[in-house]
Amino acid sequence: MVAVVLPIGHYLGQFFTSEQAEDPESHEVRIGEDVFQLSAAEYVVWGLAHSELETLQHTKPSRTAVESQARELGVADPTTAFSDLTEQGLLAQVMPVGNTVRRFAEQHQVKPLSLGLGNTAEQLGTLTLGHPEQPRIGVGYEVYRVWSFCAHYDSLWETCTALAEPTETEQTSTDPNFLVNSFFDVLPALVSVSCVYIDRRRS
Amino acid sequence: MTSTIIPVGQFIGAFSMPAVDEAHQPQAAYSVRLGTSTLDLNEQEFGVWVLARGLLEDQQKPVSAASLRSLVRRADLDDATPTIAALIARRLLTRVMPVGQAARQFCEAHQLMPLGVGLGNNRAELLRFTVGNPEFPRAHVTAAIYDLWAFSALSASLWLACEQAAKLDEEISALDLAKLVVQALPALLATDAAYIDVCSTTLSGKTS
Repeated sequence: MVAVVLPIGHYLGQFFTSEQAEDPESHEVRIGEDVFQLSAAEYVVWGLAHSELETLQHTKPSRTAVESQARELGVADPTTAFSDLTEQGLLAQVMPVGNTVRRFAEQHQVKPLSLGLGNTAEQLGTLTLGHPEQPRIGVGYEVYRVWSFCAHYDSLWETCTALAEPTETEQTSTDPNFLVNSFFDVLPALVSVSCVYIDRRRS
Repeated sequence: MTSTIIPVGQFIGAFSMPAVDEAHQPQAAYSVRLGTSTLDLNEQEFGVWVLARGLLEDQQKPVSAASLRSLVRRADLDDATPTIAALIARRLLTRVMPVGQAARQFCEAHQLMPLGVGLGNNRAELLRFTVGNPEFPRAHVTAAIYDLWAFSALSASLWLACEQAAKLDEEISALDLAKLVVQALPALLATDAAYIDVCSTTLSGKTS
């Protein structure tokens, strides 16, 4: 089994500080209250960790795959860039088994970056995320519900435990582990289409 | 001076539900999350709520009750007056004067939540920052609003976010930032670059 690579942080864009500059001085990413300035090589590696929806249908992003793609794009030393990003908390590697997913969910929060677009009469069980001019991904009800509420809670795990509380309508599973595992399975795809970003948990 | 109407809540979708029987059409409901509650809106309510975000082509213009009624009329919906009152009662709309203490009170009761990523600036316009997605740049804002937008989700209220930002910039007070962000909201909301939520501390609902 291979650890899944996930990019952490909210991308804040390229920053130019001079009208004469050919390239941006840096690419900035916020994690919690910290802003990290990524070099060009780090930005490529961090960007590749977002993967692509089409690729994710076959395989989840691994360190080997990210470094190999970075090398193809001209990054001379992707291994060092990957290690530096990991050390700064900008990349996470999560084995999708046992309590590892729960620990990741306890330490991180997920924030939506798009709207919910709901379902259609033809496909009642598929809920779409994106923007009206750009629907991006369809997910199942449990994942949609976690996505809808995750902005409110301090961590992904807290979201899942709150939603697992029994309600009168019993709309979702009452097992937070089931919810968190279901959500984690789709998380790389949600990240790849910019429907969410991952931040460290709110303290 | 006219107060600005602000839509509150995260839009989580239009939901089709199967018809109860053959005599009835399939039903649709629009859902908005406010804190830990999801609220269902009918077509008229959703029309008024979504038009309160303003139009893309007029994104710099604040939406007033009068301009909202006019937008609703043009959309062929029913008279907006009772719907606006009902949505205000449900906290899905709020009114704010973009001045002094009124802006502060709005910021104390609400959170600004970013949608989309930051796209930074470019060398031709160093002081103009863009929010959106790489293929869909959506809103253009000043450096002060960009910073506030980028960090706003960390604070329990928009006012605390303004206070935090003011600590890092001697030239602007939290109150001035509160006024500026209220003035910038039409552009942020019309373009889906952000949404407004109610503060956790002012919540009384339960997860539905």
